[in-house]
Amino acid sequence: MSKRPLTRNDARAIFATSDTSLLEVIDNLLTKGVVVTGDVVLGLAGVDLVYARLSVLLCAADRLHGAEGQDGE
Amino acid sequence: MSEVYVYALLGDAPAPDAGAGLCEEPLRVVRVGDLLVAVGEMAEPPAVSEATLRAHDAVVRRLADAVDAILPVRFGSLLSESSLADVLRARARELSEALALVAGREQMTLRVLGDAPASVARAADAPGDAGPGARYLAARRAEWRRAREAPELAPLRPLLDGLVRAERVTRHDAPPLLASVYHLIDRGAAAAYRAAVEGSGPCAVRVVATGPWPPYAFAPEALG
Amino acid sequence: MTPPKPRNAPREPSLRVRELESLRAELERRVGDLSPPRWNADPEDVQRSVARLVLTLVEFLRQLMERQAIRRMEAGTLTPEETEDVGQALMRLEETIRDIGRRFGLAPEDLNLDLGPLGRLI
Repeated sequence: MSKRPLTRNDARAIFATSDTSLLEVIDNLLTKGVVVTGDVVLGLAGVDLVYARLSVLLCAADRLHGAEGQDGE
Repeated sequence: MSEVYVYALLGDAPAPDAGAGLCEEPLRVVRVGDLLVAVGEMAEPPAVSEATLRAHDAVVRRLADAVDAILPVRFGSLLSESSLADVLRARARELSEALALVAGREQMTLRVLGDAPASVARAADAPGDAGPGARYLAARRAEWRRAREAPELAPLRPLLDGLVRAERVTRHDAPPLLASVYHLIDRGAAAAYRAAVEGSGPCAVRVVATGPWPPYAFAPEALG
Repeated sequence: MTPPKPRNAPREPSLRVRELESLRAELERRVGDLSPPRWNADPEDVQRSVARLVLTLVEFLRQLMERQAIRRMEAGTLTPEETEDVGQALMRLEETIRDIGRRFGLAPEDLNLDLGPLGRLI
């Protein structure tokens, strides 16, 4: 695996394809599947300052969803 | 703290072991409550490329062949084991239910292609004397529903219903691509499914099937 | 090591050129930015950046509440009065978000900061 920093162009290259099987793999791997990370980078003046773990917020959202399952009201 | 790259949630442990990951790292199976997770140690996330995507898919397919129930995890999921445990514990019920749904099953993907989305006349959901608030909610519900439906498949339903265990829909409404429909079928039913799709009579739309795949689209929030 | 060829590799699907093109465009749109979601205040317009972040979060919460209200409505656990009241409150909330957004030059499409799994609800 290359150690050089990933540039946006490198990643975008996967879309320059006419291979339908690759498009299917992209669909499955990049838009589907369980999401376990939810991080946001916060910054100012173009400088990244805080890497916020949203897994904590994920828990809160789930508890909101969870509450509806117990709806007896 | 070292981070782990997550491949999939498993219903049971693969035997004799989980094999190797996309960077040839040895995979471990971690237990969080009732859930098993296949992970590999990784220092940094893999670059997104055709090679890494296909390698990740190959790992998931190999794991899928070795277990009865698998919930693939999104590509690029790298986090600390403690964060992973937090997330999985918080969503344990939802994830266990999803794992139960996909046990012994796999996914077929249908692309629904045509010139225009099917329009479906909807009866008014709100009673005639409903106020603006109730009408608003009824309209919003109709929109939520519409976004999850593929009325274009109506002619195929009689042929597919016996095979489809669950369905997820992503509407695109961008002709010629109208919608993507993901069907969960029993493992081994792919040939019968394709025969049903290809054997269906004239249809207003074109339908192209691919698969079978591990059940990527049946993760709880899989539809973007 | 090359990845082993999957035992049940999908047959080549027969998408036509135009169809393939539209699938590719849709996927590119949906996959979005492959780097982590980022909020970085524009120094030229910090107020607008702050407004965008705040309104995005409020819109996310509004949609969460709307989905819950619809579930309750379908489950029959809202009285007709509650349905009307909640519906009106959601309407007003939506208008308020739009109005405040307009004041900062933000269209509804701008309130789409990708919050990972949270953002997908929007």
